Amino acid sequence: MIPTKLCSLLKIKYPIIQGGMAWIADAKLAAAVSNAGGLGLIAAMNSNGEQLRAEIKAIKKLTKKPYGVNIMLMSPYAKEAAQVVIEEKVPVITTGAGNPAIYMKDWIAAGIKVLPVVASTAHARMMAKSGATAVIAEGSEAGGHVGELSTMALLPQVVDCVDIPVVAAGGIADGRQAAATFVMGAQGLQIGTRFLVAKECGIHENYKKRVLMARDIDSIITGKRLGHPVRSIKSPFSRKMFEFEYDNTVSNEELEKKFGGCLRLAAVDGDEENGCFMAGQVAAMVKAEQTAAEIIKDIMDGAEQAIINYKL
Amino acid sequence: MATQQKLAKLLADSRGVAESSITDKTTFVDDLKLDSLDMVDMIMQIGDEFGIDTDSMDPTTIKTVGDLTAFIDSKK
Repeated sequence: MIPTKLCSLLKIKYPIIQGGMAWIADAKLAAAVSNAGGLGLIAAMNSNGEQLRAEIKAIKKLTKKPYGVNIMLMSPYAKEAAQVVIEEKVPVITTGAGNPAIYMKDWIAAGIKVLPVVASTAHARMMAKSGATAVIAEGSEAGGHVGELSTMALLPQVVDCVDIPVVAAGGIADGRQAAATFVMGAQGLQIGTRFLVAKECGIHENYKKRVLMARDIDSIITGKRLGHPVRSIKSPFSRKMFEFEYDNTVSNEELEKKFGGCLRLAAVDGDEENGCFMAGQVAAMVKAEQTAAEIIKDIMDGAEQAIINYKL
Repeated sequence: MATQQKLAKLLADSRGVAESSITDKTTFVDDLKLDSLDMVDMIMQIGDEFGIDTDSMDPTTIKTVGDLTAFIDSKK
């Protein structure tokens, strides 16, 4: 057992947060992670207030343990979502794709623990100053929207610049990687890719197959030209998008349109031609479909073993 | 040191451009090519260097060096 400050702050058994992945992180997956002793997250993504409320009501029926909601700040419904989480007394919020500063006061006043995802030290300092409970330092090994800095470079710098706990995200699939982030000062982990193939994860079988079949060299970043790079598993769609990015005859508006709905096509429809199968660089390390409880136990037992076995 | 002069020096150092090229009309996005993380970095640096509270700073309304100079002076 590796006890960390994050466990006592969030009232969870294991310092593992499941990533708030759009079209993937629903009440069923989040409840399974929370029931297993981690912190499950529901992705608010582009849901309107009432859709999000329904998902929150669903998780309340599935678990009595702490859970959270990830609010994507670029969503046109971010303001509605920010209010719904207060009304529904959601215990924990994580935020992504922007700066949650304008909502922080209300969330904190409502007793909500707020953990913004940060991609730089300045962002981490700003969030700590705004009253964040902890920050999630997400390196570019992660799947989905990514920053420039890797976890190896970003994590220790964020740990050094704030006095609140730091959660490591990006590039963590097993206990050795978890142990490495603890050694660098992390108080917790956020895991996304590994939970894509959790038995309780309801994404399309084709998505799970893409993750389970991924090789180490199958990871690709697209969308850099548009200013919001996305990491996914190489696929007909991602290869096509990569080519378009370097094609001057394709305008940014056209490129933006081509990206539209690609994650939904992968997660819901399993569209192998047009879907974007977002996953981190560690996808190739994910070898089996397991329950959320088995995944958490494997990572935490592996981290303990890695620390015990460490010899120079 | 006047606010704008100090600000120009900070921006020139962090962006690797000539201080003389920065005027009150210089824009953060189009001229200095700051992305969203650069903007956050700048806000925190301004707070540290000028000893002011930048919580109320809205990057969507502060677009030029002149705008930022006025914001800093209003907080002193």
